[in-house]
Amino acid sequence: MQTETVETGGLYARVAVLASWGYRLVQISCTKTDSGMELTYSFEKDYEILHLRTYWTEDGTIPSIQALYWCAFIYENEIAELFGVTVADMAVDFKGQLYKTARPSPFGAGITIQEA
Amino acid sequence: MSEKMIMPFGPQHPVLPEPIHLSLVLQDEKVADVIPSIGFIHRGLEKLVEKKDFQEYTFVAERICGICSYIHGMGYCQAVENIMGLEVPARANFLRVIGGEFSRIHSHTLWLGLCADAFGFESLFMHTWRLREKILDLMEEITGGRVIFSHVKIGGVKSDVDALMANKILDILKELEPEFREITSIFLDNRTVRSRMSGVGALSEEEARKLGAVGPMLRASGVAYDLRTTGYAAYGQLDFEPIVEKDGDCMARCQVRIREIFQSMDLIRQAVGRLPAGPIDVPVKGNPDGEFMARLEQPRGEVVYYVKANGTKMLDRMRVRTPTFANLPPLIQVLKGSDLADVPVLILTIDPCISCTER
Repeated sequence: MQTETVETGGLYARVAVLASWGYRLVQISCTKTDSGMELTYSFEKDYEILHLRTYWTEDGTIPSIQALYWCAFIYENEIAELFGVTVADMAVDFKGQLYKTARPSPFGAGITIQEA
Repeated sequence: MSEKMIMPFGPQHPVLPEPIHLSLVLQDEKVADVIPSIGFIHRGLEKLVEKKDFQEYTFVAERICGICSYIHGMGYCQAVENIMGLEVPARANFLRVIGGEFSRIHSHTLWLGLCADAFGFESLFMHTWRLREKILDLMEEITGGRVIFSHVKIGGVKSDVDALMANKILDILKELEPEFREITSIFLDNRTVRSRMSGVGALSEEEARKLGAVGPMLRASGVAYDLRTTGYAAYGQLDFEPIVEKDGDCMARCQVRIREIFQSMDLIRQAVGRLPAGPIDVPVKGNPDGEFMARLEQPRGEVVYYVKANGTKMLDRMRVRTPTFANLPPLIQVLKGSDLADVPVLILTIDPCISCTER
């Protein structure tokens, strides 16, 4: 799987280029790393997929891309609520109310599955 | 003009087989805004990869949803197979197409029944589901299951279709097709049905693209996007074109699904007719190491499986982006400005699968 790594600070500008080229936002996903989260933004045009990868640490923020892709609100709120990623300047911010979770950030760093 | 009020819709509602909550901001009888909330049945299945062997996880992936279970299993297996460099035998790929297309027929038929039920056409609902039962019976004979099939496994499929069963598939399709044509003609031609769906909830081609719509929701707005055309499994060896409608309204979404039922029948006939001889699986040796994103066309649209493996039996990550999740922003868009009375039908025409969304 080919990915293009971008700095968090340069993410918005790179996504803006893809938006201007007519790419569709496919998904945003999160994977735990030792120091925080690895984020993968997937875009598609004419069936070709392109992945942008950036990294988030607990003291950092990820820029919202809702101004470029309004539909990103569903993914950004998901990663904020389930993984505890801080997304800055979300136009549509559910403030933890999209998912009705019993505990904050159930997929976040340091959370492991408890045996029943 | 009256003041705005908020009306809760769901999580329990006669039109919703599964729970989702929508706060409808109403001005008189018009929907001014919509605020969705989910998570009522979230099961954290993605998190389970930390505790399940990657081969065992196929069973978990299938249980993401009871309607799309076949293609959920297939998508997960395709992602792992790609990471491991496994060459799935040609016969297994054709059998996956047969299973996947039967799954599409039963999903679309289920939707047609629910849609008829939503606008109060009970007899149409019952006749539609009568036909669906026959499809499920046949799937049970092929795979051994009616809801969870456990047919697809990493490296191939678990059971074969012999010549007798192949003929039976063709015979039953021949018998069912006229019945499907009769029932679906009511959806297409009946004045009552058309009055509930024509011109309701129109989404333009540009909006559909911009909002990230997938599946019949996207194709009903004139976009010929169907991942089966990328040729995964054995689709590359079959002849078909994406089904597209232009109007973008509820009726167009219904028409796309109906036409796809007959397209699926045709694809099954082609797959049965071209079923190559040979093995149905390959042995799986070692553990996956790497990452891959598989994309498939589920009945509800594009589904994405991202798998990241570390060389052990346990995966680092398995992420599913289901079609209903992608279709929530377009749903919010079509609900805005709609009449309150049209809300149930509008929600249904995205064919919401909350079980998938709450993976």
